Amino acid sequence: MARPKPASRNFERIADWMLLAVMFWTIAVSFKNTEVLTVGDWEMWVDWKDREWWPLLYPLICISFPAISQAIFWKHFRLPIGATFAVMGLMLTTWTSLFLGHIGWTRFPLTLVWGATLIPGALLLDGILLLTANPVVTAIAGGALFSIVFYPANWPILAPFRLVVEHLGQLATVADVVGYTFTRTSMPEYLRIIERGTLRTFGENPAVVSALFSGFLSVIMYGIWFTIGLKLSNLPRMKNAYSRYMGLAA
Amino acid sequence: MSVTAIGAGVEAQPAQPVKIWSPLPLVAMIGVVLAIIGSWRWYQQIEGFKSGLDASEAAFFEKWMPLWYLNLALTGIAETSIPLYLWLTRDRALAKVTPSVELHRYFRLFTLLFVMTMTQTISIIFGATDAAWHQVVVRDTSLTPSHIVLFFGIVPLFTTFGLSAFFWAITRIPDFARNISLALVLAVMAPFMVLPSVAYNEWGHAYWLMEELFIAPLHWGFVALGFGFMAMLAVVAQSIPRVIELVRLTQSPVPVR
Repeated sequence: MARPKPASRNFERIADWMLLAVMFWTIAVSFKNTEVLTVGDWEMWVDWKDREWWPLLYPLICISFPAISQAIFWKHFRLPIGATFAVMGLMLTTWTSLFLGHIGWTRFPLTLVWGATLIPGALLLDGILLLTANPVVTAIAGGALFSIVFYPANWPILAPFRLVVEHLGQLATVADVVGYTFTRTSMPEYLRIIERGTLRTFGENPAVVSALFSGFLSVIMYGIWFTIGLKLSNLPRMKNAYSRYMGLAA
Repeated sequence: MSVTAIGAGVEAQPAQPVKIWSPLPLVAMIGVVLAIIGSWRWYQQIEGFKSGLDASEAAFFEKWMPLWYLNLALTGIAETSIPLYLWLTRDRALAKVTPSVELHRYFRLFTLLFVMTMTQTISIIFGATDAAWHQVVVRDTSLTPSHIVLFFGIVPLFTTFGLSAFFWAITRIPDFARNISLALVLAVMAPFMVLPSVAYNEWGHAYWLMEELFIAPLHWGFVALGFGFMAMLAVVAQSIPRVIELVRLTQSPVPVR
């Protein structure tokens, strides 16, 4: 095969960048849309970041789009950058919407609405795919680690909000008081779906149990979404009955 | 895949150099989108809490309803005229298109898809600001400062780019004209179908769930439609092989610029 001339190399590079941008925007919007409407409350409010539901549900749902992204990049380009690519899109949309909306427009404080980070888990997921070049091993090891490291990765940000305070004679955390101060949408205490169930009696720290369980389920979730990502590029075409209007044979 | 000629009475392509790629359309479209959306956001910031809290007030009718009427009018005009124009100016000799022209048209398609997906990303950001609005201001009608900009402005804006991309592809690119790409249909129609889902969402919030719990099952229609957005990745995968071939075919001393 003849080497392409410099002009052709420019066209290839231009197409690369444009298609990469299209993929970035697409994954960012789909990921943010799914994340905010399925686990958005746990992500959005500091008083929802509990030890049971947040470490369980948030990484479990959010492994979906890194898996799809890894499937696309690995199948078509053999690039182990899919997870980080997807998570960077989510971080961009999350923080832009915080500063344009919750902080910049409706004046919620950053201490209430800061978003969790998924970057360490995404780096691990991509790193394992890079080192093993095996999606099955990535599902088992990477999928599990993505969810297990979520809670400790966010601990440096969360820890100050777990300090105990006495509020109106009741035991509460700093996060609770922040949540009580800023009323949200018509319901008292905003129907916080936190710390419900008997998991707190299971062991000393339910966060560990939730993280490990989330890691186990994430292995399965990764496999499902990776498969969806592989099948995604095989969507069919349908014969165009009106192609003759463009001068093509019927 | 080779391009074959058909039938009689088909015009031959003029033999003149084709400028395969120009950044000007991309820059212009991005500039227009950012200018329009920036002005909407600026107006929200200034007038949102000043005149947008109560839809029964005279100030609301003075400051926000004209914007709604304007958005509706522009939406109607853009979403009918642009697809119609693209259809009426379609290439009637698509079988004789040269590789240079076809590659140019692929780059124009990628430009439209770039701007469409960028606008969709901006729309989800405005969706979050809409959620912020409804967290502090209980819904009185479906016409709020956040809705007038998002559902009657930004969503029609990316729908316009999506329809433009679809009609550009099926009227000017042989692979997409010969066989309709289900991926392209999904990638364009799933975002559009957000609007009927919004109508259901507003009904649910008006008569059923006043609060703006993000994870309420009422919102899960949007989640399903969001998966349809991912079909754009399939469009990318379908385009790449032909683009690679066209780049090889267009090796020539003609410079890029």
